[in-house]
Amino acid sequence: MKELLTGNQAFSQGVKLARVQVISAFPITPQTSVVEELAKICADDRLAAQFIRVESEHSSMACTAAASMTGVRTFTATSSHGLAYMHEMLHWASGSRLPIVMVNVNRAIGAPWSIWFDQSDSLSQRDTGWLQIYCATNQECIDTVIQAYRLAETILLPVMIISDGFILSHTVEPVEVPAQEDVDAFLPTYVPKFKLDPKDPHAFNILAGPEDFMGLRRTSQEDMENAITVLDEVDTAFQKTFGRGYGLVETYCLEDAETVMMGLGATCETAKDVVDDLRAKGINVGLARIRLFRPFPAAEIKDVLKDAKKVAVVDRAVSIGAGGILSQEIKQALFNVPGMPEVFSFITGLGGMDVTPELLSRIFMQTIEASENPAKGFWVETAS
Amino acid sequence: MADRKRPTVCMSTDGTQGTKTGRWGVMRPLFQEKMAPCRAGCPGAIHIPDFIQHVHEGDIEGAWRVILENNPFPRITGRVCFHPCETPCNRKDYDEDIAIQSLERFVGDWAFEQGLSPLEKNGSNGKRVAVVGTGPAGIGCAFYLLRSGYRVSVYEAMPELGGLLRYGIPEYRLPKRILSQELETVFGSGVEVKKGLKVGPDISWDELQKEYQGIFLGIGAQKPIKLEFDEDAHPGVMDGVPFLQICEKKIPFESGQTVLIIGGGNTALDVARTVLRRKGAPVVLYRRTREEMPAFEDEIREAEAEGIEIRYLVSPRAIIREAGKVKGLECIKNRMTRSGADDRRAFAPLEDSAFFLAGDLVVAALGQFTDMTDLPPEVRVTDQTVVVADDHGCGPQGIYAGGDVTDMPRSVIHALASGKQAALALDTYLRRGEKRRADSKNAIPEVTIQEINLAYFESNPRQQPPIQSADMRTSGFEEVTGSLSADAAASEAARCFGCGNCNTCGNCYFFCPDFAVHRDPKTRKVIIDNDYCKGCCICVEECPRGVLSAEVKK
Repeated sequence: MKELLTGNQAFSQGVKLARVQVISAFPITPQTSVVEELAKICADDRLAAQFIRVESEHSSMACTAAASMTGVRTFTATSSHGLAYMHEMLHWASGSRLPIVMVNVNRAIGAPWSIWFDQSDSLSQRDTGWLQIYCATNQECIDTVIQAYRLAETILLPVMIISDGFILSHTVEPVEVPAQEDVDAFLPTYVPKFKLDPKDPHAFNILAGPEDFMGLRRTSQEDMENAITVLDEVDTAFQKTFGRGYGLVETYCLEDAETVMMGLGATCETAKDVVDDLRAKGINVGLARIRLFRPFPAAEIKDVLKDAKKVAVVDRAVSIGAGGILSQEIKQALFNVPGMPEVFSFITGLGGMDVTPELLSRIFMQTIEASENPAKGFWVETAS
Repeated sequence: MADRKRPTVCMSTDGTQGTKTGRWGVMRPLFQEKMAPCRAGCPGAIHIPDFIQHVHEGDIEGAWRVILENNPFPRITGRVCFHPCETPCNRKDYDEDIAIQSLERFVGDWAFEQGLSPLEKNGSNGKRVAVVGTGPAGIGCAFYLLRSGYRVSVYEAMPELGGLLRYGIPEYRLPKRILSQELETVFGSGVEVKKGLKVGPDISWDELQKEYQGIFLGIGAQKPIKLEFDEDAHPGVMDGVPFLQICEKKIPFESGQTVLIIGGGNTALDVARTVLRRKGAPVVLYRRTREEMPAFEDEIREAEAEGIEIRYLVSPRAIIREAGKVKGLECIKNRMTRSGADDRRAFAPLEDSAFFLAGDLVVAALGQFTDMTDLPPEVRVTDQTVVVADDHGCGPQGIYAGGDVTDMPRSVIHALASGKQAALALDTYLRRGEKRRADSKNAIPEVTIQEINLAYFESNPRQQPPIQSADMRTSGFEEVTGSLSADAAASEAARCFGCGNCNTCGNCYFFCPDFAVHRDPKTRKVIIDNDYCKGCCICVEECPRGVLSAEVKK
């Protein structure tokens, strides 16, 4: 059944459909309405979950992780400073191999204060051992929650689902809400492989020597890489049940594209219109949206870019001193590979700056006409 | 992922106790129940925090049984004790001290109303003990002997049992009805009672020693100290305790007459308050100041509230008579000087301060001493008292003594406690032929208010028992102080810090981040698992009542 839902409502409905058992969260703009709606859903007994209020995001992740340790399906959500505050516990959750699903609604991170969108909050947590999946539509928001639990519970690593603050979170789109019985069939009850159980006591995460420690890190790395295959399988199965799929990298008009734009999230929806406009003028451009950022799908990216000459990366987060974060990742994936296209970085849309079709069109043209390629990227600071 | 040899997660394979994290710590908490100041202050060592905890839990019978371990007569001490337990109460430095005496009285009265018997007959062990004297020392001793299965005979020279409780404490402080009820519960059955029989003149100590395996000497101090200048007690001059006895039946003065009372002890004030109730006009003369007065504070305060005139720094010098009738006293004024030998400040007469005080009757309430003429042979004595060893033995085999006949502070609870100690010593002697070792005085640390976590206690006022107004009470001999209601007793018990006494609140258990606090399944008390306690000592901080202490590991 189609409903008009904001991105945040889509997440809440997805959590309800996934029959989550414990939710612990602390409100922060623009995430607030996700947990507000869930609190209401729990209070009305539409979902048989414990909703645990806490005093901070550090605690919300500690609480979610502890609940997950007991072998139940858990959820939390945050944004920006809340995510930064969780940083320590993010490592503990992934190191403990807990299949937590968390929503992060992107928002710039201070100072100075900003409540608007960019991707600096989630991208600065890329090394915490969490999977990161970026959504481009509200439909993808609800669907990704359902996919994420199956993925997380298979590989035993936590998944962060990311959406664009205000652009998706507070904007209504028609969303097909899956039927509960279909979700139940797709996502069976979580059966933990290990858990905290007073009847079968084990000590978890006790002091480990260097040999064990390195072994465990290597295991996490291998399992994270394996997530590429598993998400592919999950997405295929999802498509079979629900008729929709997203892949790891979404492509648009790539077949004969010489210049390809790459980005994360809903910016790419705008870019599709720009591609259409430029193609109408006879300029062969295309789009590749990276949906799965962690693990980084290097092989898939190499594959989609094999015929391209130039790549324009829309970087909506910057690592000060190094440049655009997404472009670094793409460059790394293509490095030492013969015949790969030249990568251009455009740092733009920070702190809520609108990334309009005109702006993206300019980026395309600047990439096509470029005579230079600064290593740390171009700064695009005005829309026109 | 499945065919890998490495584990996915860092998890112990065998239980949770592989790493003894307790080895890391520098500090460690100790579960160490401590001495509450109230209990340390009680001459009878009643386990006060424990009985109050029982009241708090609504288990009044349990509270009563705790008291009985050290005091068989909570209804009596709940009325007349000078409650030295309340003075050191830690709560007084927070809001007000706990009304311990009122709670004790509540518990005692409740048990009586329920018809509970403090003595459960354990069957006789066949041995016989004579208790001579039935004041608080004697009845205390008799009670604990009965509890241990002895056959007890009590000998009382006076017509009724109770000693000073009956003949020295007025009705408005301890109603005779209550005293009789209490004595009845202990001596009502199974005890041979011989009243009006004085050992010595009426039956010899030799006979007693032949008939009984043990004797307790608790004859008290019966003889009044006489005025220096009136040794022969002329008409118009009476002694304090006999005066109180006489007043029970016949008033030895006329309405409106002035009674001059000499002395500063409880008896002096009891005489004054009795005179007031018999329509006389009492004046108390005391040679020092209020501060040095030996009477209990409560009694002084109540006497003052009743408007009794107390003249301090006054000493009588002579009785002035006219035609054989007392007209008054010649007195002299005193001034205080530096410290005297007995820690009370010394005083000296003021030159040229003699004055005349008119009065119709003089009562000397100067204290009492023991009649040393009819003691058992071979008992060690000084000129004033019987000398006892630390087990209360007083010389001849099998004879023990306690109460005012010995040299000890003169109070009901001191006497009761000495009776109990003597009973325990008699029991040890009669069962094993040995001398009982004194209770170990191992230094159990006393809890200070610094060890109480005040965050756990709301400030609440002390529950006061109803007290009759001074106007109302001086018109008769009704009890001045009433009892706490059940609700008030519950509220008061809830105020108690329970210093140093674990009431199994569970804070240590809930706060321990390492699950290193366990409880003994039987006693529910705390066991610290030092293999896993890292020594954070949060439990010490969060113990509301100072039971847990931190120490540096050795």
